[in-house]
Parts: sequence; C-alpha cells; structure tokens
Amino acid sequence: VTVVLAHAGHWLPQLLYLAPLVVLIGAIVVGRLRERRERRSGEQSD
Amino acid sequence: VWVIAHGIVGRADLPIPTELFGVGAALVLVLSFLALAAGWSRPRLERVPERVLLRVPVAVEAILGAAGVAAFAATVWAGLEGTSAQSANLAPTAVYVGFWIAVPFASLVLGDVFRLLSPWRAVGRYGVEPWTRRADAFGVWFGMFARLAPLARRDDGRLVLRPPVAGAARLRAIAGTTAVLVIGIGSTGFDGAKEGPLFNDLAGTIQDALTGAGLTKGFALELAFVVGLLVAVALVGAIWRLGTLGMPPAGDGRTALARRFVHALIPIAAAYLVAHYFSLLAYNGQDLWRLASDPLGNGADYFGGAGATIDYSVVSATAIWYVQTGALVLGHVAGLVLAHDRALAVYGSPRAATRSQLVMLVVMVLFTLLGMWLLSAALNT
Repeated sequence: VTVVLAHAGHWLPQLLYLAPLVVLIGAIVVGRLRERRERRSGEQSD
Repeated sequence: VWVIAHGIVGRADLPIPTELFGVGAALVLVLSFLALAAGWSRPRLERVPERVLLRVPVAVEAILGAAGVAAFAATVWAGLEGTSAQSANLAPTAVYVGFWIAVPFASLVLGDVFRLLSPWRAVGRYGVEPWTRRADAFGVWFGMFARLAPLARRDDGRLVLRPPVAGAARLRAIAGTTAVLVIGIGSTGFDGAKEGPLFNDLAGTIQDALTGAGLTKGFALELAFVVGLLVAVALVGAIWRLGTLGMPPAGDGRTALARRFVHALIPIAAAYLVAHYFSLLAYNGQDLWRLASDPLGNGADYFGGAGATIDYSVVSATAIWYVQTGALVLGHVAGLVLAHDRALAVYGSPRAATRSQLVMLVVMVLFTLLGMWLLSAALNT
C-alpha cells in the first residue's frame, strides 16, 4: 500500500506548531520518571 | 536622518489563512495547560541542577571587554565623523541591529554576553557591578533574555549548563522589574503595530486633530506615535494586570504575588523580540560586515568587506513567518510552564495551582493572538 501525502510540503510545516507541546510532554514524562526513581531509591534506603 | 529599522521582506506564501495560525497557537496553549495540569504536579524549576563546564579565563573576559569598548568607540566615531547617508554609515546598523537585536538574540543562546562585552563594565572601577545589574537599562534588559539560555556564567567565573528557560525562575523581581518587561513587550508590539493599517489610520486621525490645534505636521505625527506607544504599553500592562488579579491571594499582598510570577513575562518578551526582529537580523545583520569595513562611508575597506551585499535568499519570507509564529507559540508555552511551576510552589496542591492559572492561560492566549495579529497586519501591508 502506498500512502500518498498530497501537498505534504504545504501542510507539514504546520505540525511544527506542536513541537513546543511535544517538548513539554517529554519534559513531564522525564520528570515523572525521575521522581518515581527518587521515590524508589528513598524507600529502599529506609 | 530617517532610520528604517526593518528588514526588507517579501510577501510570505502561506498555505492557510493567517487567522488559522492564531487558532492553532491558541489550541497549542490550551493543550499545554491541560498537559501541565495533568502531569506537572511538583515545582521543578525552583532548584535546577547545573553542570559546570569550565572556568571562563580572565583573559577571555578582558578580550571581550576590549572588543566591547572598541565597538562602542567605532560606532561613536562613525556617528560623529561619518557620512549622513544612513545606509553607508556604520552607526545606525551597529546600534539598531548589532546592539539592539544581535546582543539579545545571542543572549538567548549563550547567556549574558552583554555583561562581558559591556564597555561600561570593562572600563568602570567603582560601583560598576550594582550599576550593571540594576541601573543599566541595557544590562537589565539583555540579562532577562540571558536567563532563558542553557548556558550561564556564575559569579565565580564558572560556565554552567542548565535546562533552557529554567534560569528565569531565579529572577528575584524588585520594584521596576514588571515595568521593564511590560514596556519591553509593549514597545516591541508597537513597533509591529505601526506597520499595520489600524495604527496608520489612527495616526493620521490624531495627526489631523493635532495639526488643527496648531501644531506642525511633523510634530503632530511624532506625538501620534508617542500616543500609540503609550497605548501599546498600557494594553500589555492591562493584560498582565488581568492575569495577576485572576490569581487567588497567597498571603503576602497583591503586589508581592504579582512579582513572584512576573518572570513568566520573560519568554513572552523573547517571543516578541524574535517574532518582530528575526528578519531584520537575518538580512540587515549581514550588512554589519560591509559597514565595519567602511564605517564612515568614505570608501575605506579595513576588513576587505566593503563590497559585500545582503543575500536576501539566505532565508525565505515563508520561513521567516514560521520562525516568527513558532517563536510566539514556544515563548507563550514557556511562560505557561514558568507560571504553573511557580503556582505549585505558592499554592501547594496541583489542583489549586491549576485553578490559579486559569486567567493566566487567558492572558497567554491574548498575548499570543496580539502577537499573531501584529505579524499578520505587517505581512498584509
């Protein structure tokens, strides 16, 4: 199956709008993982 | 001498109407707000880890300070002795492009470069540090942008790496900090508005009224621009005031509360700066090489670049539009993040923090739409 992205060059740049949102979600996920890791290491040391 | 402080930009070939860009930007802000509410539940920017990279040698500071003094002296010399033809004299481009735009752009990436380049700091001996940090308007203004940079220089001379934007959370606002940021955003916004039809129609009406009152046409037009500038600053101040009034009290007074959140305006100021001046830097910034080679416009060629011309194909008008709108969206999302993180520190629970920032979300959307409207007005002129 060939996916045809008609006029992709015209609308693909609009997706750049979502870049800040993607970065933000990435930062949230990384922060959550880090917090979980810190909590676990804290529980183990107790 | 008339200084046309804007790059020559062709019309952007946009695939969708400019209004839809505003809708898209507002949508991204709302989604970012929801993401923060759902996943950012502890203040993370109050204390961020920094990685020490190296110690900046004293010799580097001395060289950069000397370069700042030399650039300042060359600009003054060109201003006093050079040709009165604006495009052939180093001074206007050095001030309006090199100093006023390139320095804050560099600060966004490299940190507080003006601190090292400042001719005042280089030659000053007594009281220069507090003056640079608090009284030198340029030092304070450029220093705001440096807080967003991933690089920073500590007082002990160490260069450190930190998450971008995080430095803004360290701002300890004092009397005047809010005014600096509001005036910075308002004046940049007015610089965009004066290119659009709304202000030009209004300026004509004000000019006619003042001319009828006995003023000369030129003076009346200048006053119309002053009125426009004051209205733009007042509008930005009113929007910010709306955002701070929408937050519940936190026990230390309304003014103190507003100051605790004012660092959220820094990325917005940066967004307005990039949105409005990127094209000027991309095009007219190239002209600095030619003008440095022939600063007085008398046919000299000190650095071999006197024959250089501006390459307008270096970036297309459409690409400039995307950089401008991208900067607006990124800046306002960063402002939301800073405000949300501070709200968590102030109000404690994620729910209370999120509720406190609902009006701030409206403020960010208003600032974004204002910026988009200014850009599209200039685009369609």
